[in-house]
Amino acid sequence: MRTVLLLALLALQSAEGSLDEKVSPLLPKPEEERWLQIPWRSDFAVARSEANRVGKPIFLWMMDGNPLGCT
Amino acid sequence: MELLQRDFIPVAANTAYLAPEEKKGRNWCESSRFLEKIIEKSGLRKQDESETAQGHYAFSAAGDVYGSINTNDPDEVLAILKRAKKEFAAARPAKVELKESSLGPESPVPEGAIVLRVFSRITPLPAGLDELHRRRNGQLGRDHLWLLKSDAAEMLSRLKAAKEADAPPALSTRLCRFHLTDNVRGESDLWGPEDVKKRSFTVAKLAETETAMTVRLTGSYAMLMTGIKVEGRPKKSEMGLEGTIEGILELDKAKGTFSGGKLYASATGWGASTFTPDEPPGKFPVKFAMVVATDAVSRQVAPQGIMNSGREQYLAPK
Repeated sequence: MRTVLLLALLALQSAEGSLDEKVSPLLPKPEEERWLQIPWRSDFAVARSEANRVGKPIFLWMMDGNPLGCT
Repeated sequence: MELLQRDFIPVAANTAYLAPEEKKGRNWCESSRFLEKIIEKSGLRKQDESETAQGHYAFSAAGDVYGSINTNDPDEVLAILKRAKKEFAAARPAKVELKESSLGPESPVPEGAIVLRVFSRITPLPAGLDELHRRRNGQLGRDHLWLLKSDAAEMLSRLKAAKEADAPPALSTRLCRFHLTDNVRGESDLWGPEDVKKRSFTVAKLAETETAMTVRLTGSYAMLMTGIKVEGRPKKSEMGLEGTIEGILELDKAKGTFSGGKLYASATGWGASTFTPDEPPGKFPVKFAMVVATDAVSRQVAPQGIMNSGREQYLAPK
């Protein structure tokens, strides 16, 4: 039973290793995630209230499809 | 970036939610009414009311508009930011009384679901592309995938007494119709039920304890859409994608939910959809990575398929 479990774990680790090698090159590079360093608010009403309260202008990025989620 | 971090309240929004092209589609809440006035003052929505209002806007909470533009040129956006900062400082608007303090998420993540970030790339880029095509096709496509509690329950049920089984149809159909798409150059037309020509997905038990199960998902798929009127082209054309998917899904047996997952898909694509012209000629490789989201934004922003086909279709696709 232990041998079977060990073999299953080894197979899993091997599969995950191979999967990581395929997935990693597709993930965003740091420069492709720089826009996330901007503290985007996702709720327009919250953003307007905050701008009103703290006295700052609003910058709105509006796209067909939420720009934080799609392309 | 510093200007945005320090001097502005930056907000991202979906035009289709807050200011859709069709007037009858608008919800006319306080925020939507206010935003429509901003759009009107900016002139960014073209004279024809069927035109989209997408773009960048700088304005005050009181409704003073400092600038707007629909561009990908960072210098043009920067110019608007600088002007907005200057004009705002020169005449600080009075505070206004707001009734609406939150809109809530546009489409909340269902209870018990986990969110995976989905990335797509055309890689390797075909040789011989000109600069425009290299830039357009070298971009990164993004979306969010919801793995539902009902998918997990179905998977656990199918693997209760079997080592291998067909994957839950709702999950494999959701992957095919809404996530395995070439969105590298922008928002793609998502596959309809009739466009999915092949969908063969299997799950196999890799390891199991009293509380958890690890499952390997594999599959193959083929999608084809015809009669597409690609923007800027005189003739209708077709778009296709076919390939394989593999990955690991972790299940929490006690909760009956997914606790983790990582998927990889490799496909051959061809053609373009309405708003994704400039594809490489002929057939080209499209690859996908889906990994568990760890950021707050991913739980706030719904999958593109929900905007495209509605929440019901996304959760239980045909």
